[in-house]
Amino acid sequence: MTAAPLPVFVQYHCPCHPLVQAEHELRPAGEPTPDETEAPTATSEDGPADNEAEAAIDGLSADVVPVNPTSDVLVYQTHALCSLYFCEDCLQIRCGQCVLEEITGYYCPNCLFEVPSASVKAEKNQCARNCFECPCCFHSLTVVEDPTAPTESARAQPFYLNCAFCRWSSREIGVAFEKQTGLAAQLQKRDQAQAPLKEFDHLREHFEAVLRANQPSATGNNSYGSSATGMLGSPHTSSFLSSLRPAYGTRAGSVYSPARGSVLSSPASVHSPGSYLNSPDTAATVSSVTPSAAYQALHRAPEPEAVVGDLMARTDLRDLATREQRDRQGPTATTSYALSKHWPRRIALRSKRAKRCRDCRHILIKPEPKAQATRFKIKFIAMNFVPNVTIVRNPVVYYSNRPTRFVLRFVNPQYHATQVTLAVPDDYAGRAARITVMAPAFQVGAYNDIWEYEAHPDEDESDEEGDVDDDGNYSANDMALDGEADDGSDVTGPPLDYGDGPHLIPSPSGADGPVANTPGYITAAAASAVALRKRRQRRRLLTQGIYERKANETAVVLEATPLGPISNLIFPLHVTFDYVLEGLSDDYDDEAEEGDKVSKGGTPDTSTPDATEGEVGKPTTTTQACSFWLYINLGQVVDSPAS
Amino acid sequence: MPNSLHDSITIVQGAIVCADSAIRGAVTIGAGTVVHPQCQIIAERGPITIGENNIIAECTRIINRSEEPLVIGHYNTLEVASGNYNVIEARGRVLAGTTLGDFCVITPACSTLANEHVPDKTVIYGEAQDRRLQTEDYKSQLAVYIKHLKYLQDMLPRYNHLRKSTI
Repeated sequence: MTAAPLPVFVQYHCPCHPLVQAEHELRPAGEPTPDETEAPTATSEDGPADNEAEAAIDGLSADVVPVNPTSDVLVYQTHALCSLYFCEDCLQIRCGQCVLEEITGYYCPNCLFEVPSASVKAEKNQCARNCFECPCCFHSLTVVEDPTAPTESARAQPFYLNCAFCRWSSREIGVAFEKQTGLAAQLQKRDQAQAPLKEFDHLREHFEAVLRANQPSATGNNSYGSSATGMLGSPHTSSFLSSLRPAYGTRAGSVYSPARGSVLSSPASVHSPGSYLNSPDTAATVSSVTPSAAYQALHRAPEPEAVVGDLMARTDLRDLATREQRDRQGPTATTSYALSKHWPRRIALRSKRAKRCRDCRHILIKPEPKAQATRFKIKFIAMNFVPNVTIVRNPVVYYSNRPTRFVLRFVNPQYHATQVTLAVPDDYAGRAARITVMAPAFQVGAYNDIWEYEAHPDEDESDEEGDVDDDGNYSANDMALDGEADDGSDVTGPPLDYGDGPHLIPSPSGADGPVANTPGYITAAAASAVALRKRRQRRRLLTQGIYERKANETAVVLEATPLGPISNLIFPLHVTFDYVLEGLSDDYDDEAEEGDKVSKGGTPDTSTPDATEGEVGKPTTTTQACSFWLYINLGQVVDSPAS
Repeated sequence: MPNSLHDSITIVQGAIVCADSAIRGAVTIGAGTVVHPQCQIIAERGPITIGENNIIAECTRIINRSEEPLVIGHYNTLEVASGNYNVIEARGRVLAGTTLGDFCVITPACSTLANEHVPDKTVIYGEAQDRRLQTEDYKSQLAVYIKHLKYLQDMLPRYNHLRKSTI
């Protein structure tokens, strides 16, 4: 449990996390859960709608709660809605950890040149044109011409790089150019002369030679390790290392980390990594392959003592490069502490990435290949599919054992109305409060682009429930949210207190009413009739636990009774909503999808009712029930004041 | 301005001072200096003396709340609210009691310390208010600066009412 109070949040749980699956596998199947013996008696006397609530809650047992809300791993398994994707085939929320990324293209962020992927490696992932970053402040550099240089030699090279931000100039390190184009090529010559790069090429040549020399013997030798051990177990490595020994001494042995050493299935793996090279088994293997010439290093890094001595002797720290400045110099620099020896670096390329669902391999995100375009060809982000849940009303602080109401708003981003079902498990590890859902099932209207421009167009919501038909904006802001249920009568009586207080959210003139349909002015009598009607509707909605309903939003009332003081009252909430697959013909493979869902057993999705059939009269749309877990932090709970 | 001195604004011939600027107190503006509209140059107690050929960009605030005179030298670019040839970019701040050397740059949103002497050629940049000494001679870019100044001296009078020079 985190002791510090966190800001209030609504986080979405992604079912992908390996820890979740591992937990489900570990738990014995027949183990009785404590909540099954204890019926939801605590919630049964609350609210008029608890029959449905019970039905919804029945389906949930403690072991479906994916994460203990008080555990530290909650942070890693829950995400904000804006960082999630939605896979239309798995009908699952997908997070950044359960998508596969593919690079679709490289470009330079400065000149927006799209680099062909064939040449990216040759250009060392950096822009090969005129884009450089300042070694001092990492701002991009501009090419400046100075024709008024004092000396003749300087006039021959009038172009130099200048940082418009920190005023660094490449003339500080004695770099100037004759032409203002192709600067990267001019600087690259110097790059290639860098010792570490030379060393790397030299090392590669050496390894290639060793590899060639041992090619025939490698094919016959299968005794060393399985394929999983890869290069580590093969005699190649041994001979590589043995050839490196004269150059690097025992330090080459440190390539074997203890973790990797344990992977080895060869007898050598029983030895500690350090002794691996010297063990008799290895020696025998080495002798069985062609011995290769010892590697001679071209370059040696400066001894640390010399560097430390230099640093200790410094009195002026202005020229001392920071860690970040040294890191940005990359492998070409020999970690120079002197800022005056740092060179401008070519700007690193960026990549555009497509994202796929790990389970079904369908593409979730596909960006436009052009570097200038910021749009996406395919964009399955959760915000466009999953209801956006926000906390609308929440008391500043909760008191333990005192029932307190709060309001959650569900915003439907789909172009179809959706049925949302809420459920709270009765008991689970880390339970901090008894949560009562006042409206376990409710309708959220369809999203319509026009609402963004017009005030309040008519909505053709069908009258299914008989009393939640109207689409006017009802607000019940004067509801007693902090329901001080001291006498206990509040919970059994009408759940909310409706006064005639002013509306916090004014309804735009009730354009749906019969009176408002007539153009022109509204008489006082008509206005009062509208007001009366609205009040009645609001009352009717509130008895169902619906706090407010407008456009594609529905706000519902929940009640929390904290069990004890806690700094963060976090509870899991299971949400099921109808997802409408649009424009699909009848041959759409529903069964594959069902199978897909079942195969993921253990994820909360299986606990939802099976997919409903397509809506009547709309043969091309299929409605699927999707579900996910929310983790909602309501804030701090303190001990109730002595009453 | 209750405590202000009597307005005694001196604008030397050749200065371009737009009328749409708030200038209070004892302010002297040297020849060739361009003061954009919407500037505030307020000498609450001590006088403000602005030298020659400075560019004082829009929304700059130069306030002198101390008794000491506030002196701005020549060839400065003040893009906000000093020796010579300095550049103070947008939202840069030179705090009270500070003396700027020559050729200093205060990049956007950076600030000097109070009562500080900033040496010549200092560049204050970045989030952490890092400092470095620039080696590039600002004089080499003086040609650009002069061009900029000439352009402003031409263009501003066309679209703005000017204050009349007093000398």
